[in-house]
Amino acid sequence: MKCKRVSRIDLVLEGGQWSGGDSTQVEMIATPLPMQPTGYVIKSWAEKPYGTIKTLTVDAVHDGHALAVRLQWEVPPATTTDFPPAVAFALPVKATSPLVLMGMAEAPMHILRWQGGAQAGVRSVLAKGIGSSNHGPDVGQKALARQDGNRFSVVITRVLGSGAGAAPLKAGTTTKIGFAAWDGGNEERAGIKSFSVDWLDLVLAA
Amino acid sequence: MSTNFDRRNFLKISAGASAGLAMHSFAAAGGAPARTLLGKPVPAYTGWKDVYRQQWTWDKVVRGTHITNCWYQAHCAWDVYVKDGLVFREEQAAEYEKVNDELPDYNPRGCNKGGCFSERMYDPTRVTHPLKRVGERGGNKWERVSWDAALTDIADTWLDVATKEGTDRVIWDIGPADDYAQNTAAFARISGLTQSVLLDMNTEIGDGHRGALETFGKISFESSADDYFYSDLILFWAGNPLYTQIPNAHFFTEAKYRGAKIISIAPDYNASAIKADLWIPAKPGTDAALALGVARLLIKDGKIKPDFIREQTDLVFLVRNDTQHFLTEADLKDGGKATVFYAYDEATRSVQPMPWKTLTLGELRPALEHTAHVRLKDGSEVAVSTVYSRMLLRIEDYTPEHVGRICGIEPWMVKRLAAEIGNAKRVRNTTQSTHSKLYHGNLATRAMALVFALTGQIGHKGAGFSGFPMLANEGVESFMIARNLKELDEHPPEIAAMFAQRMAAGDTLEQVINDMSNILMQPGALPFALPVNASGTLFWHIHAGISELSDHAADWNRGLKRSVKDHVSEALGKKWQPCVPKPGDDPRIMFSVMSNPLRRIRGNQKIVEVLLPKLAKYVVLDFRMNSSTRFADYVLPVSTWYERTNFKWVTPLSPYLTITNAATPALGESKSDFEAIFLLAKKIEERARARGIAVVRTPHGLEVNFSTLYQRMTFDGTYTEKDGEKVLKHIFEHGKLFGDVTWEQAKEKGFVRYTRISNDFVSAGNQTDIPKNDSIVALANHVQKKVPYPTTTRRIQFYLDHPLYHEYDEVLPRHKDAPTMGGNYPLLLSGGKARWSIHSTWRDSRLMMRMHRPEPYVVISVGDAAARGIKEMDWVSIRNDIGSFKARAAVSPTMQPGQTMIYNGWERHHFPKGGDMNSVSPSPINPVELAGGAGQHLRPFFIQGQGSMFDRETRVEIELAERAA
Amino acid sequence: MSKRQVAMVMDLNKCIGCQTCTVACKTLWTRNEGQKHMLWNTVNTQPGQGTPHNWEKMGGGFRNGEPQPGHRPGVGDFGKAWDFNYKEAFHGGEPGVRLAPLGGEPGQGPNHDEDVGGGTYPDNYFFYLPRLCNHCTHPACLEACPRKAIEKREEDGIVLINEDHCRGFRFCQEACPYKKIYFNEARGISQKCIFCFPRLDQGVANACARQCPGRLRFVGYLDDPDGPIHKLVHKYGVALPLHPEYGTEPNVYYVPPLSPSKHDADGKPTGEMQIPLDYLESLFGKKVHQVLALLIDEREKNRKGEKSELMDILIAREWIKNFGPFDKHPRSIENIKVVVK
Ligand code: SF4
Ligand code: SF4
Ligand code: SF4
Repeated sequence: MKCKRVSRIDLVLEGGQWSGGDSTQVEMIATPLPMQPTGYVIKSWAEKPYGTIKTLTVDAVHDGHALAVRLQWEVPPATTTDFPPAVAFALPVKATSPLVLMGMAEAPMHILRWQGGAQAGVRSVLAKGIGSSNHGPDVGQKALARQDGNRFSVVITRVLGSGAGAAPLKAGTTTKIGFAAWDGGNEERAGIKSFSVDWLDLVLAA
Repeated sequence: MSTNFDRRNFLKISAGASAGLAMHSFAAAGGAPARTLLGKPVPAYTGWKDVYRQQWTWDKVVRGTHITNCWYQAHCAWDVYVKDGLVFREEQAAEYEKVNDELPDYNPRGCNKGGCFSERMYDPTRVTHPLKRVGERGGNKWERVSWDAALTDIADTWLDVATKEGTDRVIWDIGPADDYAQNTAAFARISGLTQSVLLDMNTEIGDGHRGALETFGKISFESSADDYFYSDLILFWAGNPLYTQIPNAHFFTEAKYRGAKIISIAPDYNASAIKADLWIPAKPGTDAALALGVARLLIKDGKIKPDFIREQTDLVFLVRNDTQHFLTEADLKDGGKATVFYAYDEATRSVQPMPWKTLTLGELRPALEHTAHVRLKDGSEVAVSTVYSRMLLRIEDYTPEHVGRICGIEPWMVKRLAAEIGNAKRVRNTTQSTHSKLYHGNLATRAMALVFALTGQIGHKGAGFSGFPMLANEGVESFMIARNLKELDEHPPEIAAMFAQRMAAGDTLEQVINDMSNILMQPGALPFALPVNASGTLFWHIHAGISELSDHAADWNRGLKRSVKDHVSEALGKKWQPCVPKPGDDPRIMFSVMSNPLRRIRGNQKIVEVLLPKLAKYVVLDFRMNSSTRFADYVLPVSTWYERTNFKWVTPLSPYLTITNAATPALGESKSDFEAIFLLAKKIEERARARGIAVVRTPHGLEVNFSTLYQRMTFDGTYTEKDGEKVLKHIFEHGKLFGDVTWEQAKEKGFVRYTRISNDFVSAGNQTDIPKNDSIVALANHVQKKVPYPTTTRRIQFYLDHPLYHEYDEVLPRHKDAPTMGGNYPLLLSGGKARWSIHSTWRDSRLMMRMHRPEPYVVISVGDAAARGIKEMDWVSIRNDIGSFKARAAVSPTMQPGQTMIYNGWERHHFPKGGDMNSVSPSPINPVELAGGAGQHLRPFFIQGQGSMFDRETRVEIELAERAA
Repeated sequence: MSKRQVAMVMDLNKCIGCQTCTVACKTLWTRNEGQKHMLWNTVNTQPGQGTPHNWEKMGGGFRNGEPQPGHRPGVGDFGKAWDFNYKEAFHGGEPGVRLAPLGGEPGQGPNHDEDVGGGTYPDNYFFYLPRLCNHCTHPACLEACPRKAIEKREEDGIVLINEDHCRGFRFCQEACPYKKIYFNEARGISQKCIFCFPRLDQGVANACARQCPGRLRFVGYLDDPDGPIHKLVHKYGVALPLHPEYGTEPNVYYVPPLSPSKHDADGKPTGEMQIPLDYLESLFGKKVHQVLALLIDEREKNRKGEKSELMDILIAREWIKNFGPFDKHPRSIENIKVVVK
């Protein structure tokens, strides 16, 4: 997945050029039920389909200072308003550990997660395995979200850089990226979500 | 260029997640170190648990209580917790020492209302600044004015009215503000010194306990709540003590574990009935029949206590068969006294005078059942028979079957009740004011009292008949009467002489006290200014036009012998009852002090139509907006019970004077009602001087001087508006009711146990001791010390030899069918005190409404609702000949078919336009309640003997108004 | 398993439904943002819909040790905490405006069916059931939480939701069969009864217990042989958990309600209790029969003047003894507010 370099991200956000028709269609699957962290979650979702977000349309740009990732998807009609729509992308902090395990103690992953609803906002999270995510470093993360019926478009930005447990990002390098999405209208939250099975390359133009 | 995140602050988390912490006053970690005021520091925020720890912290705690009329419950000592200058919560003090090893202690007391007064006092109903009406009365439009401007306007109107129309055109309607302490001192002084009128609201509100007065000569008597623990049988008869006695209720459940049985007699399966061993679902208004049925069986089965009857009751007194009057010494001897009565002595087989200075019979053995012939002073012979013999005839028809039919219950229930009462060692009932709100409720109370008297279940541990529970302080009465500081400590010589003389002549202290309080209802009776205590009921009927609702009505099955108008004219003419100002003299200024008459008065639409137009000023003093402030010209903000130091009367049920301390300064410009009254007096004096007004003659021939009002009100500056606490201290110390405990100690601790019954106008009736280490037993002075009762016969009196009782055939207790008040409609509307409010004081509190129902509702039986197509939550219209209102339907299987219920306290503004719960209550006067006259114990005095107002058993029809969505 | 377990026993024969407990908890803990509708302590008339409405039909808990799916109660189920048009009603300049809940039809609050109960007149019955979090030994909420945001304290078994950790996933709400967890919409976290841990930590009994005028709440450690809890739960076995079949092993216990015998047409007691026994059994399990029989016997003993330790405990002559080691006066705790500069 290519991350084009633009002169100024804010111009892109204001309606400028994203990938220029070069969006990546990321295939998503539901997280496996047996891997859910508690017996209750497994039992209560055994009969219910989840992971309804099957595809994310992703674009990424950077301007040497900051990265912007645009995530777009569509959901079926909501059955509840109890849970917010949410989307996240993950970057490895050190080595890559399997995305499905949500990082490991020695190889955490750094997640920027946006959610809508009453507590709307983007959160920086450091994950060291399933069910053990914690506050991540402040990387100046911001989000811009738009909902149009069942269609969502969310842009998440952060500054480039490294240190303090943040996933390093540097123009001209390649790293990995993974995705997760929650259809809140289908009561999806926590491990009940869809994800991008494995890492994709994220190539930051020099 | 890259950023190195290590330099950033990692503790800061993203915006969305930190919102929750913002409301708690934590500094970010790493800020300046925490500084503690006192005690141990609570750590700076290290995690969510500290948020909770921080929540349970405070700046200060003081003892407080709620000086509201929670009556049977009054009062409970609370700790009032203050943080950041506001009261943030309260928790019971719960430090009542145990009375003895056998009795459960009084801890912790409290109720749901008191437990959230901290919420109530700051809710959006609170008034913080004086408000003046803008535009029409009732228009809900206000402007803020200063106290000075408001008081100046009110004082000027007062002076205009007093000089041009009469001093008694100024009316004080005092509700729960009548604390029998600080406020009462202020009311009494301003009333006495200006001869303005204090409305006695006790019988009007429906707490008159008429039947108790008729039978015992007083209404105030009650044992302590822990005394129930000694009972074998507790009767929840016509009451719902689980609602009305929340802090005391544990004594019932604990007595039950001790082995006591509980019987509930109530039409509906209420919250108290669920604790009973037997529930007797008698129809509303049939208690008299049930009691007489029980009395009949007790006599038949030999379960009565003849010795008690002989000594304590008038049942052994002889009545002339020709005149139906008591046989008295005046019948037998020239110059004989009409107050000496006779019995037939079985020992000497002769007619003998009954002792009257004591109840002790000595050698006398008065016959219960007897008919004799006596020779009168003119030589003629007449047949006489005992009251008991007459009673036997009276109750002969009340067989279980007949009673069962009247009450709508199985005959076995009558028998079972009689058997339980007859076999129990110690029987006690629970106090109730239901009968006081029933047109014939007096008959029911008398019949119940008969059951207790026949079985001697009065005046012993665990046994007793409950009257009106009240326990106050003598000290306040000195503020009513005193003309100078010296008289604050001892009675004025005129009054002291009267007491001495009467007691030397063989009257009891209680009788003289009652007579004194009767004098306060006769302005001008003594040559100096006393407070003017007037009948509230007659005031509203006559001056607010409440009578108009029933004057022209059909008889409503009241069996009237004459028109009520005629009865009222007779009562006023013969001075049996007072009406001040006199009919035709319109009231011109009315003050409502925390009393909310537009909410409480039955038929209150008449106040709006008839009374308000007569008023030049309607001034409401309250801490909250309510039904009455809506129609006020001025609303003056009163401080709450956590913002001033005060205490109020309590009851023997929990014999602890309970003191509230100022926890915080009064909000905004609110002032205590005490202070407001003094400031008004000051302003009246100032305006009188400025206008050259001094002495004014009152309609009752006294003189009042407005130019020295404040000076005399304050005893020349000794007790000013700032000295509320000094007044309390005087009241506290005056009667020496609290042993060695000083005022300062009592204030700090928040409560103190009485060491004896106060001999004041409202408490003397208790006639008992307060043992340090045991329960209180009402009326023990009569039963154990043989002190006469303050009745005409000086006994527990069942034969009411008064012309009105003869006229209505109520000389002896009997059952009478309830009148069809409101017209001939199929449903009976009854009522009761609510769990969710004390009167209206909490009724529109958000918290209370959220925890139950936010709108007024009537409870309808399942069958009655179905027959009318009414479902739960529907809006229904309740109507009769005099009015209608709308409320939600609450359909419940607990309600007896034919009975509907609306609980007390809903404000006018709770109801959709067009009427409130009082709009269907005509509350006609019951003529027998107009009784009075010299030598009669049936006459008006403080809190009793005045007409009642009735709302129970009003006839209505209910229809679906609007289907619930 | 925690080292020790605190527990509460409530004697339903003494509950008068006054809600002082509910108010006590409300004023102390749940007056903050997002908590308007929260009543961690509730009291409902049984039979009835309870709080949240029809909670017994909402699932959760365990069957044969297996977690059961459950429903997540919403604000409507708990009963909306209405706001009112006070300003308009008192100062709006329009005459006769009704003070009414905002937002149209009010629906039913948490205690709408108070004092209704079951049966048909005059064979009615009802009783009050106060409820709070049961601080279960086998807490379904804790076990459901994917974030391990719920802790059961080692020292006393109090179950607490870590509010820093909670992300508002609300699996706990679904899993708790007693439906005692509320959701704070404003903060996006779940909240529930904290068993007044700040008070217990300082030796002061829970607000709902200490403020109960009915004197029916006992607090203490289950393993303290001298405390009333141990005696009621173990020695006499008269205190039973609510819905033991839910499988969470609650640590709040109830002394079940006695009710009088019904009568035949001649007034002879039939021996059948006013509150149907199968209804009580559905709430408290099979043991309820022997408990009621024991209570009747012991009361009868007392009536005859014989001693009964059980009755003495339940009478609670010295109220403070109801709280075992948590008998300190709150005022004696110097919890003076910290002023942070
Ligand atoms: S405070 Fe006590 S008596 Fe009142 S409802 Fe709560 S548990 Fe019952
Ligand atoms: S009662 Fe419910 S919330 Fe409380 S610990 Fe048990 S399962 Fe969890
Ligand atoms: S224990 Fe404390 S937090 Fe729990 S319900 Fe009772 S008062 Fe509320």
